[in-house]
Amino acid sequence: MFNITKEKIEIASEIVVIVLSLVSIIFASGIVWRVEKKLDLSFKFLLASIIFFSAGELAGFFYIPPSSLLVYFVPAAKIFFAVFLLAGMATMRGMIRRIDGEK
Amino acid sequence: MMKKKSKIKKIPDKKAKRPVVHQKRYFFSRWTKILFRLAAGLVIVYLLVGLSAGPGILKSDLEDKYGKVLGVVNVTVLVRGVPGKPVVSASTGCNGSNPYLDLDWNDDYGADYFDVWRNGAPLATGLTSSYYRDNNVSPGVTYAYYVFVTGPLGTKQSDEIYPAASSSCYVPPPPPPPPPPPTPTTTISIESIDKITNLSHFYCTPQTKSKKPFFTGITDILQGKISLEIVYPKAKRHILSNTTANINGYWSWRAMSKLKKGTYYLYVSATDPSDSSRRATDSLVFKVSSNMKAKTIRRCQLSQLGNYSIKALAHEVEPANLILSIVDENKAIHPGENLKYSFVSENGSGDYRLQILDDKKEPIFTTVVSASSDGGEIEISRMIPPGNYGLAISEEKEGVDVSSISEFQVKERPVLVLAPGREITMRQILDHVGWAAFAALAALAIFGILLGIEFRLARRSKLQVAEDDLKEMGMID
Repeated sequence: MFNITKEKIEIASEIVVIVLSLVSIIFASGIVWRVEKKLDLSFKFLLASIIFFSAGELAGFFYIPPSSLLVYFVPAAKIFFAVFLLAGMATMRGMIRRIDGEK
Repeated sequence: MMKKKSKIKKIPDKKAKRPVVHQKRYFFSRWTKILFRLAAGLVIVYLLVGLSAGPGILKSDLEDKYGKVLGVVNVTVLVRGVPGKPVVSASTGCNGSNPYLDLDWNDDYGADYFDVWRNGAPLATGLTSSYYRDNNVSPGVTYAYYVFVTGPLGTKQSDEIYPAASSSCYVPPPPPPPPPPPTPTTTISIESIDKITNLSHFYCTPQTKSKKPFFTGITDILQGKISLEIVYPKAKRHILSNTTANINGYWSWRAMSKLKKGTYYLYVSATDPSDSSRRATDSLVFKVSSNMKAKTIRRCQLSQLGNYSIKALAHEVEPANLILSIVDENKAIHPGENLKYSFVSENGSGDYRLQILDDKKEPIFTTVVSASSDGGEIEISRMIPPGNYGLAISEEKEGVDVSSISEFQVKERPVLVLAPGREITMRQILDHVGWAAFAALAALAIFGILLGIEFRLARRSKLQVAEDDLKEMGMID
């Protein structure tokens, strides 16, 4: 009935990843709107990392001609995703350490 | 009251007599018991090991150990005596077309070897088997054979026999080679001239007003080379051209130079580029004067004017000595790109006219190229819409108009390339914009609604999360 091929599975998984990452953007935005100061900053970093991840996945979904400058966007988006994720985690860690009273 | 035990020990009487025991008997019985127990233990261990390994293995082991002792040995003694007189029999046979004679005689234990004689002379000596095949015989010839048997106690000779070699060794002739596969008949037909169609069932001389008539046809040689020749007997004028049939066998062609009023003969041939033996021809007599009326065309198609042949006499199509080919294998190009072409000409002098033709083979762009060049590039204008086009090269010399046409396709520039070969053009987007736009808008709307709900929920929140609140909720200590 259904002709399931490797190509179709790849496309379906890419669509699922893109949809879930867009939902993550919504949830992260909600947190950013609700909190302030350090927690707000850390979630802003996390939101930026999710946005870059989604943009990279969205760009990778389509075929980019090798001659186009867009071929550099996907690896750049991955780098920014990692950088902002680290920044968000570091801010969150610093905040929790301060709450714990660590010196 | 409890009775106290007496603490007085009984002192053994050393002087009391020991029981009388037979020392030697006691010694044997003790070692017998030890050996018996040891043997029993070994047997039990052997049986346990054997049974655990499998009763079959135990059985075979027992047979192997004790069967040799219990088995029977058969001894056969042969006594060699004086060899007996051999009785020889013969039979004939064929090895292909060559006859042979087989000689066979009885085995003899008293024999060391056998000698076969033929016609009074030894044929084979020192044979150890009681059989011999004589291949050196002529068909139908009778030979005299006898056999000597030699053993340690003497020699015996057989009776002479006279077998004849077979004279009827028949060799069937090699089967005839399979008949060559029937050559597939190839066809080509001229189907229309301008507005007159279905020329296969047209019984009048077709007539057209156009000075450059447009012909279409079909052949079963797909992508075959189509050669065309128009002959105008009165003016002794020739038009030679070539083009190619498309992947379905359809071809179309328009005269590159104007024809004057008169009757013309059109000869067409189709040739398979990969097999020149596959060839088909067709012809047509047509007139250039005024257009035929629709009523006349219908009458001609209904054979109301009799079975009038519109075919010209058999004529070998003269090949055009000018061949144009497009270099790009796909023969597909986007507007604004350059189309590479090459041509081969036997004359190689003067200038050629290079034209881009539309799907009706009408020129839409004309330029001149030098005959000294064997190819070049021509820019396909961005204004040219997508479709099928032809690139034509032609020259007019001494009453002979020579041209060559090669087809190519102009494809719309893709808006999106999903993968090599999977392009999405603006036309495709416009064709499918209904569901594509709906899907995009639906996704955008869902995203916006969810974002809006989240924003509304966030507006209702306290906006400040204090440490005390976290402590109250039990999130931090």
